Amino acid sequence: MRYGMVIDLKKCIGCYGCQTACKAEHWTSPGIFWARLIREESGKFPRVRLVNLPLLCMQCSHPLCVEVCPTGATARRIEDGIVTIKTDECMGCRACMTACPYGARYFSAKARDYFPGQGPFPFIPEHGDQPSAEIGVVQKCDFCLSTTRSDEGREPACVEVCMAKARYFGDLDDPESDLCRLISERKGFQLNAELGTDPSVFYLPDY
Amino acid sequence: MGLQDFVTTAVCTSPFFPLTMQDPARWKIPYKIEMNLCGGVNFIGGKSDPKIDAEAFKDVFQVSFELYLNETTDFSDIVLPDACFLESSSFEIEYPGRVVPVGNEWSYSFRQRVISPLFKRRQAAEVLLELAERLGIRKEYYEALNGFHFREPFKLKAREKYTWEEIIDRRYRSLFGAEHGIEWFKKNGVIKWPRKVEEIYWKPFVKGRASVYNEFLKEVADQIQKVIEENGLPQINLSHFQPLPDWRPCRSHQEKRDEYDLFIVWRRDSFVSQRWTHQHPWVDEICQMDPYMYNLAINAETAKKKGLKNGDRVELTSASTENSVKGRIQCTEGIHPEVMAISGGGGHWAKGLPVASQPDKGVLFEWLIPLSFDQDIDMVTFSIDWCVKGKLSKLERREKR
Repeated sequence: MRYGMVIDLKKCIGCYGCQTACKAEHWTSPGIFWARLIREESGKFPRVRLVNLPLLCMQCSHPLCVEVCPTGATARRIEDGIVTIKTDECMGCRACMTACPYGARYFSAKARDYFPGQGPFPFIPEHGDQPSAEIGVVQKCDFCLSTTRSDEGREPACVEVCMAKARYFGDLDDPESDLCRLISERKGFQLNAELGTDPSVFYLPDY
Repeated sequence: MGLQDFVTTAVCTSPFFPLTMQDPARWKIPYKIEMNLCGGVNFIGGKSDPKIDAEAFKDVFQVSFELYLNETTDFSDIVLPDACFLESSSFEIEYPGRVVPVGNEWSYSFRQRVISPLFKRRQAAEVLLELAERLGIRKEYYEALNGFHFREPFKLKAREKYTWEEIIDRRYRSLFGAEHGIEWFKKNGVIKWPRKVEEIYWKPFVKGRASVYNEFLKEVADQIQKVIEENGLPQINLSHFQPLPDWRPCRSHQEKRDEYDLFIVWRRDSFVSQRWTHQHPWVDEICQMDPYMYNLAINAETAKKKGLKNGDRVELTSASTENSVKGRIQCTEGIHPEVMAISGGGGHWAKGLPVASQPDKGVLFEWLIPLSFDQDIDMVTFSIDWCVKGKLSKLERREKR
C-alpha cells in the first residue's frame, strides 16, 4: 500500500480551509503549517489567472530528507509509504529541512503562543488532542497518522474539510482507486518531478 | 429612525440611522434614541465614515454583549461578556428563511454548545432571560419570544419559568412536532425533509413576471413628495424614482480633480467574514500570508507609473470624505489600471482587539465613504454607492500608522 493524495487545482478556490483544518487537528504553533497554500498570479492584465497551490509534505517514495537524516529519526514506512519523524530520535539539526525541495518541514526553536501565556489556544485542554508543537525537533504533515483519524477510518483533516472537494486520498498502489483514475484521466503531475523524489501527492491541472 | 416607513421601497438596512439620530426633529421624529442595547455587532464604521457614527452615538447610553471589546464597545457604558458561538446554544431566528437546501432535501439545524463557556461568561440569551425575571417582565418577554413561531401546546406560559435550553426545546417542538425537541436535535444534528420537484425547479411553476417598466415608482415618488409637503420634511432626492432603470454617474464618476485618479473599491475573500474574523489568530495568520488581504491592491503598471513597488507604504485620501488611510501596496495584474481594491474587515483600532488592531493589518474602507441624503446613495433601495475616487501619496518607510 502507498498512501497518496490528489489535489485538483481546477477545483481549489484558495479558501485556506485545508490550512485551517490542519491547525485545528494538530494545534501547530504560529508560523508552522503542515498544510499551507500559496497564491500566485499568472499572465498580464487583462488576461490573468490566480493560481492557488496547496502544499504539504509530499510523502516522497525517494525522500531526500530521509537520506540526510543523521540519526534515522526520519524514515519512510514500508507498509504505507508515509514519511514519519520519531521526535525522540530527532536531534534538531534541520538537515532534512535543507534537503526537502518542497519546504514542507518546520522547526520550532522555542514555544510560541497565539495568545501569549495561554498556550496555542486556551480551550485545548477540553479536547483529547494535544498540541503537536514540540520544541527542538522537526515536524511536518504525516497524512494525520499521528491522530486517531486513521483508526476511525477517516480521511486526513485537509481532505475531509475541503469545501470544493478538491482533495482525494487513497492508495496509489490500487490501480482501481479514484486517485489512479484521476491521475491517468487528467494528466496528474508531481511537483519537482525532475528531482526523482517521486512524491505521493499529485496535482491535477487547473484547465 | 431609519426613514424606511417614509421611503417604503427601501429594502436595504438603512444607512441613515447615524444622520437622523443626530437631528430627529428635522424629520419630525417625535423621539430621540437615548439607549442602545446591542450584541454581536461592530457598527462603528460599518457602512460609511466612522466619524458620522461616532457623532451619532456619543451621547447614547449603550449596553453591549460582546466577546471582544471592539470599536463599538468603545462607545458603550456597560459591556457584558458574551459567550462565543461554540459556547452557546441557540436557534435560528429566521424561519423558514434559514431552511437550507442540501441536494434533494431541505434542512434546518440547531446551534449546539460544544464547549463550556470560559471565564464564567454567559451567552447573552441567558443573561437577558435573567434580566427579564429581575425586572418582572417575564410575561412580556415570553410574549415577544412566542413571536418566533412558537405554537400550542409549546408556547411559553408566563406562569412557568423556563431555562434557555427549555425555550429552544419548545420552539423546535413547535416547528417540527413533539418528538423533535432539543434532545432529538442533539442526537441527530439536522432535521431533513424531501424537496418537491417544483421547489427545486421552481421557475416553470411560478406565474410571476419581472417588470422592466416600473411605473409604480413614479406613484411612490408622488406619495413621498406629498408626505414631505404636508409635514414640512426636508426635500430628498426623488429623481431616482423613475419607471425605466437607467445608469447615472455616481459621485466618483463626476470627480474632476486630476490627482484623484483611482477608483477605490471594496473586495473580500472567502476566509474572512465582515469585521468579525480579523481578531482570530489563525485567520490573521492567513491574511498575513495572503498577498491581497492586508494590502492595497493596485495594477502593476499603474504602480510603476506612480513610482511604487510591492510593500511601499502609501497614504490614500478619499475625494469625498477627505479622510486618509495608510497601508502597503500590493501590485497585481488582476485589477483594472484605474482601480484600487481594499479588502474588507481590516483596519481596526480598538485596544480590545490586540491581534487585529496592529499596524498594517488592513484598511477600513468605510473611512473613504461619505454619507448624505442627496448623493452617494440610491434613494429607491437605500443602498450606498461603495465606490469613491482617491489619490495616493508615497510615505517614507519610517512613517508610523
